[in-house]
Amino acid sequence: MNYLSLNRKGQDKLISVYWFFILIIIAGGLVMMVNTFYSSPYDVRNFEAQILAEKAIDCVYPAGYYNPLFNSNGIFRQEFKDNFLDRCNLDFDTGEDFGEIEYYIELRFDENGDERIEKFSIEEGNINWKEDCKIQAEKKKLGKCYENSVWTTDPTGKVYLIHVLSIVKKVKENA
Amino acid sequence: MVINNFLISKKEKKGEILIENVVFLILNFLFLSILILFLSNQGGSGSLYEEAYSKNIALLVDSAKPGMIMKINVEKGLKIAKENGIRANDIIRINGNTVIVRLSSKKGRTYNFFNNVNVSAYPDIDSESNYNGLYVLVVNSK
Repeated sequence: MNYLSLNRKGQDKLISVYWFFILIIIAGGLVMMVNTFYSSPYDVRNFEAQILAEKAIDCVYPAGYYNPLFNSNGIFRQEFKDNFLDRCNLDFDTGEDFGEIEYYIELRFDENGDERIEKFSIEEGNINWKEDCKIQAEKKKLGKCYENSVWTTDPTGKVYLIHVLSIVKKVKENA
Repeated sequence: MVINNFLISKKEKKGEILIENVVFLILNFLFLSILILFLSNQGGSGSLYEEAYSKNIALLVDSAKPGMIMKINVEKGLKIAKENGIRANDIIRINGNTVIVRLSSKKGRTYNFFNNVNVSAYPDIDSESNYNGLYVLVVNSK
């Protein structure tokens, strides 16, 4: 009958150690997830590439007419192509001494939309990024590409399809 | 004898608040508080706003044409900068074709733009010379 007078306090100290161990695992997982989410930058390169392409098109074909400095009487001027960045107020310089150019822009003028009749083309920037566009997989380490086409007519009435391809690399800031 | 023991055991069955349970609850509460504090701090950190502002401004400048004046809302950034002792005039700077946003004493965030224009940035003030949470960007040709 002595068991009735025994102290009936339960010994649950051992269980609380496991409890905190589980809490620490859950908290550690939460901290990792939050850090991963907030430390990865968000990617604006798609918008940037689109703005670059539209800017280039606006430069050579503003308001429905060819820029007279670029195309006059149906003749594309080589001088405009050679000074394309200056003429279109573009600056691809990163400001670093040995920094890579992070942009690429290409405009191709196909007569009557026929790819076999490429009348003129303009390329500026780092052509190495063009390979990134051929890879189908969505990888953050690749440059972001944007393509568009615009039908145009020159002053003589000839019809051209301008294919524009713009690429923004900038992996360090966006991936 | 049995009845006596029963009466004795009935009297001794007082409720007790175990110290161990109290400590256990306090530790749990502390642990969860620290976790919640950490999570809320991450969301409102300055580096997130630095990145957002620098990229937004670069995209705005890229789309802009000479002669444009733009105002952007940096109210939250001004508040964070003030807490970190950074002056309102130093939050956003444009150096060549680089946007630099700094909300703390660290180096801040930079982002390049490709538009070949001159951009000046300064905080907007109201009629009583108080900062109204907007930053003005003036785009001019080079």
